[in-house]
Amino acid sequence: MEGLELSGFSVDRAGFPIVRKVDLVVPRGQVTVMLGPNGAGKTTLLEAISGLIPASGGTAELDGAKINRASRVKRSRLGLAHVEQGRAVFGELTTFENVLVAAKDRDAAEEAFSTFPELVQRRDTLARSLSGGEQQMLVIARALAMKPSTILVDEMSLGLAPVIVRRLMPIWRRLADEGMAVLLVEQFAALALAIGDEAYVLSRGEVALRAPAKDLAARTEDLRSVYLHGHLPADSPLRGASA
Amino acid sequence: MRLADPRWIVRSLPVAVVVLVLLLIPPVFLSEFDQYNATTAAIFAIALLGLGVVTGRAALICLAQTAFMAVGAFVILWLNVHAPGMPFLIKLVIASLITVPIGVLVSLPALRLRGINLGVVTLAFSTALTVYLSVKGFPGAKQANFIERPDALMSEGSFYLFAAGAFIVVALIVTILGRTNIGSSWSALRESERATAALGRSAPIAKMTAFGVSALCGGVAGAIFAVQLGTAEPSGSLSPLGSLSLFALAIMVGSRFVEGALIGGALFAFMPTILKLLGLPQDIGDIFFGVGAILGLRRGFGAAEDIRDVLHRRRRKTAELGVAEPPVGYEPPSVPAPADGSAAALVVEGLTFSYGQVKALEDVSITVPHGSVVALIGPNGAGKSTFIDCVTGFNRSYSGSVSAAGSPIDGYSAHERAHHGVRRSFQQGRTIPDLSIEEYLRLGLSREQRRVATPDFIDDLLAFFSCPPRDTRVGDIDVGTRRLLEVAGAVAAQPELVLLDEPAAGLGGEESEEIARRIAEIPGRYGPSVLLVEHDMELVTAIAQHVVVLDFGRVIADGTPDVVLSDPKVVSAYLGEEVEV
Amino acid sequence: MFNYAVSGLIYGGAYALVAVCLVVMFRMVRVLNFAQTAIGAIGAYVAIILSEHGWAYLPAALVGAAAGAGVAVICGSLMSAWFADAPTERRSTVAIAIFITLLTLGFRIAGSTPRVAPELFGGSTFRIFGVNVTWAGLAVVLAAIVLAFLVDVFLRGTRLGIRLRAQSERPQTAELLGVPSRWLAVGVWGVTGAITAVGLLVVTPSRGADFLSIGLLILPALAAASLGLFRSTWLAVVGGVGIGIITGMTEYWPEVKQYQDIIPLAVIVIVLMWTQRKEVWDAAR
Repeated sequence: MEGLELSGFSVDRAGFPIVRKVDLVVPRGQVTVMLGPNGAGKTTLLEAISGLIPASGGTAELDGAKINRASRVKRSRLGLAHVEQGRAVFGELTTFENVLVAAKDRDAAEEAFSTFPELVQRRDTLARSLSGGEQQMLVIARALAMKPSTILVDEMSLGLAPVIVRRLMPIWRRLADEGMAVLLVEQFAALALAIGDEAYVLSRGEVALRAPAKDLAARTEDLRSVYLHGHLPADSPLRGASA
Repeated sequence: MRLADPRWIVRSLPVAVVVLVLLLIPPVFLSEFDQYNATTAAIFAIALLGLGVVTGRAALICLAQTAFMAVGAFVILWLNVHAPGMPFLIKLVIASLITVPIGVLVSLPALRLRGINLGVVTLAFSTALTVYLSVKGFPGAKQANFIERPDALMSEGSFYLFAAGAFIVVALIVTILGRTNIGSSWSALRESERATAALGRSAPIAKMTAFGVSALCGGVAGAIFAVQLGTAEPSGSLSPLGSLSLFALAIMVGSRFVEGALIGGALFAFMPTILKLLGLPQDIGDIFFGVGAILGLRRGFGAAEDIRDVLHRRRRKTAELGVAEPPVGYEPPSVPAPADGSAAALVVEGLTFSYGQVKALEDVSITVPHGSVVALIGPNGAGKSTFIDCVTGFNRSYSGSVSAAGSPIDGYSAHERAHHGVRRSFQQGRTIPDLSIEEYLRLGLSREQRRVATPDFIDDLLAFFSCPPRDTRVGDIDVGTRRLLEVAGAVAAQPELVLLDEPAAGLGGEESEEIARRIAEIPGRYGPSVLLVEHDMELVTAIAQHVVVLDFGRVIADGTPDVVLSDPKVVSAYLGEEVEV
Repeated sequence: MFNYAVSGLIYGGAYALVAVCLVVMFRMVRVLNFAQTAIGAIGAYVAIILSEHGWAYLPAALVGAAAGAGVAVICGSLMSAWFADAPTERRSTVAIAIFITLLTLGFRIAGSTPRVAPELFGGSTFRIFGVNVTWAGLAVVLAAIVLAFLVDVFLRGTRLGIRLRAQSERPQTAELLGVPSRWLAVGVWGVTGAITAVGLLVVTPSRGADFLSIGLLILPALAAASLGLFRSTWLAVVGGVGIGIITGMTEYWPEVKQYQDIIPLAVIVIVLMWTQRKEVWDAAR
């Protein structure tokens, strides 16, 4: 299928299972939201998909091709982009140079760069002296410069002012509408669910819940229960949908 | 008490017997020429023991081991020229002891320099010494005033036995010291300087003792080497190049173990002989050491470590780790109530801390009443870990005040605070895999605390936290149990307060509940109050009497769990909506 | 005394050249390459042996540079294959082991007797302000300055240079963005290996030296590079030339001259201690 598909996907860290047998579908043209409390294994899952750490079991397929054993560079060539947590800018490079690293040529870089008018005026500033919001825009622009078909986004909202998160969220909707497969990992639920199609909740390394984003958005009480207690309340209508 | 531990003696016995038999081969079976080489082997095995301490155990890169040998050689030769009547053994002891302060002196840069920078500086020291000695020469060398061996050591066989005896003495010193808290603190350094300080051990002192012992080994080796040759020269084995190849050899064989050092010494001394037998040029030994070191670095810590691992795994397979037995009929000493009922375990007032321009904490005030569990929660990046670092003395440039049990501790460094009632655990999990559980627990205790912490107390503590028996190696237990052990380690010192930084991070559901249940019982059973930093809300609501919520470096809520968790500000901080401030 | 200072120029230039290579390796490949001069010495010796067989200077130097690049590429591939994600500390320790290996190997092949190396420009000199300056000395100092300049231009102005800087800062993030970090790293090894070989070839005649002492030039080069904390090419040039000139000047006082090799070591200790004086804790949290 077009996009990303995981089946029975497991990841260990230091011999300790962090992600356990996750099945996940991220189709093109959709924003797939993955929620879950801190420590649930979301970041570990993304790192194994992009090859930063090895998976310990199961398969990952990108546009129908198995990528479990491909190198990081190979995965990126196959169209996978990974926006890491914590705004991993190249601090000693200027804003534009950051984008240039990922782009095939100058034109692709300019195009991705122009997504964010805020960045254009800070073009020659060192990335480490940008504000948190600007850095987040920069890593997004940098990933877009690769012209990926599937993009993994790890906790974009971390440490950002809500107004910036509001500014950035619609970008994923637009990219999905243009045909990209987007996996949006978030700890903060409301804004992500508002633009998402399908939502998964990861808890202690397992998929605790899978439901359409709008259903979950309507029942934030249930979501809170999964966050605070690790499971849905007994009377939740979402129970049947639970994975 | 532990040194006389019969299990340790029994376990060490095979190694000791093998070592002794090996040491006795040369005088019986070898030619005089090979006996001479065997002496060289023993000498360099002694030097390698020193590298095993500083680089093998403490993971400090030291490229000056042959410089310490040169110092030992220099002193004994100087004594030979200036105090010819002095008995041989006295000269040897003086030469060895004078090297120790030199080693401590070389360790001073290590208090700030780490990793490869330390390697560069120690290599510079080694080279500078060689330059000096090339100009001045060793005492007596130019006048052909050579040092005479005592009559009893004239033959190669008897001199070999003397060197082998010195090796045994030094190996015993290093092994016994290695099993005390001093040795444990070397292993702690390798893991993390912060963890060392959190256990109440001064990282600078640990570094200085590691270098001091390493220099002692170098001094002994160098002095005997000078006696073997009658003199010394700054080129060859004692040059900086020799330092580098000895360093490579130490990595290749894993010289932190006695048998590793012995293998290394033998390889060093007999390499030309071996190469000759193989029909190869005799001066290419260093190539093998270099390649061996690369392979050793790839695998971990070298050959002796591999051998021990194999033996170890076999033993581990036969016996599952199990859980420590609780001592029969033992109750931990009753917890004294605070003298005046109001004294809180921890009072933090107006704490403000900035990283450069960014305010990480702003006017944070938190009180932990005596005998309670208080939880500190908040979204990622809210400043929780920074708060712990300030309270425990790892960030000291804060404003505001921190008091434990009624007295201010702002003036104390991190390891001093550990002895003034404030212990912590680390979010990443910072036990010391190198040590046994007992060594790890004892490392964190002061002398008085060790008197209180009887074997029964420790067994009780381990059983309570479901940890394996106390002679288990920490590296053998799983990550979840290591977290429990880290909490047990903080509790063992019976401080006023333990700060637990996400003790359940990365654990599964059952393990989280397990750890939560134990934490809730800590104040009642062992005394310390608990300040718990946690993300897992379930865990927090289950065990805390009081919850403080931090967001963007400020306290946004403070109260009982029910009240705080239904506060809309808290819910939106967690679920990501805008907070009305 | 001025004369002596100028005579140190040729060493200073060579130190500077190697120091710039060390800086590039440290910044781009995350390794403090103790083996740099051992690699270069092998290349230089290939050129010397070829010239003993009657080769002209230029072709011999080119083949020597290629040999230096070849050895460096082998070392770099080993580092990429086995120690790609290892921290700088461990990679540098590997470099120490490589240093030992190559030095012993080279010593065995080249022997301990000093060779007669060909002189650049036939060792000719010119006079300025009444001081004799060798053309080779001037050339090697200029080469170091030009190299520092070119490194700057390359790293700032070209897409490859930008990608190199990116991968040096966050190798894994760069790989996620499609930058083949490992291949770029091996390329840097090759280029610096070639440059070091040529640099050492130029100083060999005045050093009149054997393989071992050429290989040990790593120490003054490290001292020069430490001046800019292994990060600044320009300070490395200043450090190299400075150490060369000061060492040359000590020839003026015979009692001091004996200890001249201690000068770079003192530089290392002072610079590192001063810059790291506030680092109370290690990086492990």
